[in-house]
Amino acid sequence: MLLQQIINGLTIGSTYALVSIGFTMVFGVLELTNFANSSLYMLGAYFTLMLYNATGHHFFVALLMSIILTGIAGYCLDRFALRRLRRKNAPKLAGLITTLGMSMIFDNGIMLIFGSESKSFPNQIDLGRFYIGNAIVSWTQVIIMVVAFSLMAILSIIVYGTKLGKAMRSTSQNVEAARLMGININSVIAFTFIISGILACISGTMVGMYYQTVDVNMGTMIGMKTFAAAILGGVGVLPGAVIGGLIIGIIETIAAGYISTGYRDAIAFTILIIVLLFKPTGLFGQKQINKV
Amino acid sequence: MALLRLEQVTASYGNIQVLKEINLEVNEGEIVTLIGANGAGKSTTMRTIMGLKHCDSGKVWFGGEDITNCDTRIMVQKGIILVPEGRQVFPKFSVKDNLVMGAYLRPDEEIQDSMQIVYELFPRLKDRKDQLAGTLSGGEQQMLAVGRAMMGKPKLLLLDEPSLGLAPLIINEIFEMIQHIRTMGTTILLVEQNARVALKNSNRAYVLETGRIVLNDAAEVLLNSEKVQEAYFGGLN
Ligand SMILES: Nc1ncnc2c1ncn2[C@@H]1O[C@H](COP(=O)(O)OP(=O)(O)OP(=O)(O)O)[C@@H](O)[C@H]1O
Ligand SMILES: [Mg+2]
Repeated sequence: MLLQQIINGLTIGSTYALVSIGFTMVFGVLELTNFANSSLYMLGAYFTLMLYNATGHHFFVALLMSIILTGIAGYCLDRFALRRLRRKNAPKLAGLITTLGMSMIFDNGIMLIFGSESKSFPNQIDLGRFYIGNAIVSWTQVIIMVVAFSLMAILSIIVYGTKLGKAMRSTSQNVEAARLMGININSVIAFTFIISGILACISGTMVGMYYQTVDVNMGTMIGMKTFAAAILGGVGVLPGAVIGGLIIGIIETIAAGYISTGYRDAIAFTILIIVLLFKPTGLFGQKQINKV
Repeated sequence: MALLRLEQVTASYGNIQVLKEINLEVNEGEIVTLIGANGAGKSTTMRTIMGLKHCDSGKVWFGGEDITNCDTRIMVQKGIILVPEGRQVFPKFSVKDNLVMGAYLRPDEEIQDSMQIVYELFPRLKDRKDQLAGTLSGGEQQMLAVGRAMMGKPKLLLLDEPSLGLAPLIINEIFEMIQHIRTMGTTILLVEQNARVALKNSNRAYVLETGRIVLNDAAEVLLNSEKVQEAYFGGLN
């Protein structure tokens, strides 16, 4: 029973982790809470569904196109809504409200096109299930975890092992110094938004497959979770977002399994608050080293 | 022909003009100092040259090219590098990684050579190459900031208050290093509060008062000028 909950929790937690990484990366680079991040997740799932039907049920073609489209949506969010604010040195709050507004635009746009009722989502790669002890594991769960962890590995190679990653990390430490090194800040930021769009899209699609349904509110739901995951791990810290996502996922399923489904979110957030009381910077967050 | 020339440069924050028709020249091989009280606009001048701050009117020329309001990246590419006020090192990177960032626009194969040169200039950085920059002392951070700038192989090095908050002994060290950098063929524009030390170490200087250049002469002349002595040399000699 516990093993079953942990497996289910890891599955859902790894999808939280993917979205949370995008969220925390944007925060790391811009110190901006991107409320639209979770809308990209919903958007990605809907793009996949729409393209799946439009391409005559070619799942992988649909997914690929959806990834590109959601990446572009992430880019546009920055390019057309946020970059202007940065150039005008607008206060951080203006950017935050903008992402909130963009999130509503995305959500309502999808609602206009698809309606507010939930849509059934195909599970194209349903390969059955197997047992570990008496816990049931579906291949969908395995695929979700493999995809999620591979993406995380690829991402850490990019962030910690490439020149672009170094540019991102310098930008997150000191934007102006990064600019003085000759780094093109706008490209770094654009790249960050594209990555967060791609991760959200893949995560949204996988969750759609997992539950075989998508609806307009799926973004709002996961928004709170990824927000919590990022804070739990320490905002701006990549491994923190991963661990945070997994922990939230596991706690949530265990709470649902042993206590009550209705309390799952409340319990997850209670634990978040308790952790923050003892470690306000999150599990892996460090105190800001002086900026002199 | 001057390496750097500012022509009637005007810049403002909101509707407050902080630079008023600045004219300034730096010739190749010179050390030129910009002195002025707090808030006179020294840092803004540096930032305007770098394209971090856009000017409202006027022109900035570098090596005969108009670079007014170009992107900072272009300035770096052309060989203008600023060591900003307050060092601004990357606190979570090691000393070595900070230096590597300084060579961001340069080909990878040239990094090692430049790093050797910087380590020769600042042996102390070499000893601490794996230490996180945020844990360095103020003086070491300043050295790192200058070293990082040198990694970009500047033709023109802009130094904004390199002696800020440093003990007198280290200030001398910093100025020795500035002289040394000049002999390596780098032209230097310097902003300094320590007007006396700065003037002793430069060829020419400009005095900035509330956004306007009010004096401009050979460093020696300004060093002996009563007006400058009164206004900028605090205390007795
Ligand atoms: N970001 C900003 N927004 C508004 N005003 C600014 C900004 N930066 C500088 N100023 C103003 O511009 C004027 C010139 O500032 P600047 O930093 O260039 O002075 P400075 O000569 O470098 O002074 P200091 O010796 O204290 O470093 C000051 O009056 C300052 O208040
Ligand atoms: Mg200044």
